[in-house]
Amino acid sequence: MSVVLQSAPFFALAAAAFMLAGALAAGALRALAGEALTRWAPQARYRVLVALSAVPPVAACWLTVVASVPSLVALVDPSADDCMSHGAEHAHLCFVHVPGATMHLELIVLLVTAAAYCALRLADAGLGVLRAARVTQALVRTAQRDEKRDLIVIESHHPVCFAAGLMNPRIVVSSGLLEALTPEEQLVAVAHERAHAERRDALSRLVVRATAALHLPGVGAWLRREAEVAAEQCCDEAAATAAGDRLLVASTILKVERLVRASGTSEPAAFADVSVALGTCAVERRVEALLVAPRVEPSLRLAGALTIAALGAALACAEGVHHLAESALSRIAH
Amino acid sequence: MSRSGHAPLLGDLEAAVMDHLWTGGEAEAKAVHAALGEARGITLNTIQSTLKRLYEKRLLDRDKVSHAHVYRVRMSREDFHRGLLGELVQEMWHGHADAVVSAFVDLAERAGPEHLARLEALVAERRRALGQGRR
Repeated sequence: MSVVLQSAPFFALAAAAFMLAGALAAGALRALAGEALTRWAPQARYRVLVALSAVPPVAACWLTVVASVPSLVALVDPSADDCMSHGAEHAHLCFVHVPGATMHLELIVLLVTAAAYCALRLADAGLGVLRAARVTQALVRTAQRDEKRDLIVIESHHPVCFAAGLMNPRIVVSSGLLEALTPEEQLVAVAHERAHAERRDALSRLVVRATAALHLPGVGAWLRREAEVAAEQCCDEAAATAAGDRLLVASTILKVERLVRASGTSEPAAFADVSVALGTCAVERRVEALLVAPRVEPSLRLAGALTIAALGAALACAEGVHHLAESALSRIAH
Repeated sequence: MSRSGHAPLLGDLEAAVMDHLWTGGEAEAKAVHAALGEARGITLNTIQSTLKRLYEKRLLDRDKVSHAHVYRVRMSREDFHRGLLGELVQEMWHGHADAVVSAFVDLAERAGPEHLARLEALVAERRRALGQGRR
C-alpha cells in the first residue's frame, strides 16, 4: 500500500480534530460576543456570521495543509526530513514514510461511519434542494409574466412573494398578494425581494446551512437563524431606501404577515405558536429594527486583517502545528 | 396531484403546452402543433407525446373525436399553482426550499396575534409621532 493511503487515516483524523477545534472556537466566540453581535448593523452582522459559519471547515482545511507543510518540504528537500527524530510508533502526518503503526480499527470505523453519515445527510439535503428547485422552476414556467416590472405572477389567492433560484433568481408574486397590497406596498415587497436576488441570498444561505452543520448543535442553529434574520434586515433596509419610508416597510411586513396567517398558507399551523413562544420571531425583530434609525455599518477591515494575520501566523508555525498534531494523534490513535 | 402525491413538475415544452391549453381551452395535437410546434421547429409527434405525457401526469383529460384525441386541462392554473405552492411550503418546513427561495415573510413561521397587534400599535404610534414632528 502506498505511503499516502496508509497515512490517509491520520490526515483524516487530524482534519476532524482541527474541525472540532474550529467548532469550539466558534462556540467560544458566540458565547463571548454573540449577544453584542445581534446589535450590529445587518450587513456587517451578516458578513461576520457567514465568516463565523465557515470557521470549522476553514480550520480543518487550512490547519491540515499547515500541518502537512514540513512533510511537503521533506519531499522536495530530503535533508529537511525529521520524521525519524521520534519513535517508529509515533503517528505520522507524512507523505514520505509509512506510519510505524496503524490506527486503532475502532477509530477508523468511527471515521468512516461519520463520513458516511455526513455524505448521506448531504445527499438527502441535496435531493430536497433539487426537488424544491424543480418546484419553483415549474411555478416560474407556468406563470404569467409582468414584463414591465420583471415579475413572475402566479395565479393564487395565497399571499406569497419570493425570490426563486440560486444563480439567477426571479421575483415571484401571487395575484392574491398584488390584489391585497397598495402600489406603494407592492413596491416595498418587490424591492425587498429584488435585494435578495441581487445579494444572491439563497446561494449564501445554502453555504451557511452546509457549514452550520459542522458546528456544535446549538451554535449551528444560532448561526443559521441569525444569518437569516440579518439577510432579511439587509433587504428591509434596501426596501426602505427604495420606498423612502421605513415605516411603510414595517407596516407592509405586518400586513403580509396577517394575510399569510389568514390564508393558511403556512402549514402545519400547529408549529407556528411554538416559534413565537421561543421569542425568536423574525417579523418582530425586523419591524422593531425599522422603527428606529438605521445603524451605521462598522468597517470590517480590522477583522479581515486579523483573520489573514491568524492564518499567516498558523503557516509561520507550521513545524509546531505539525509536531503538536502528531503528538495529539499518537495519543488518540494508538 | 400525481400518483406519487407530489405536484407534477413540468419541462419547458410541457409548460408551454399547458399554458396554451389554459389560455385557449381544449385542442387537438394538430392545433397545439400549429400554435407551438412550428415556431419551435418540432414535429407533430413530439407534441403528441408531450400531450400523452401530460395526460399520464393527470394534468389533461382527453376524448376521442373521430380519429383524433381532443385534450383539455383537468385543473385550472390556480389549482396547479396551489399544489406547487403547498409542496414548496412543505419543503420549507423541511428546510430544503430555503436554499432556493427567499420569501418576503417566512412561510414556515408565524408571529402570534398578540405580537402582531403590539407591533402594529408601535408602527401607528411612530407614524403619529412623525406626523406631529412635521407640523
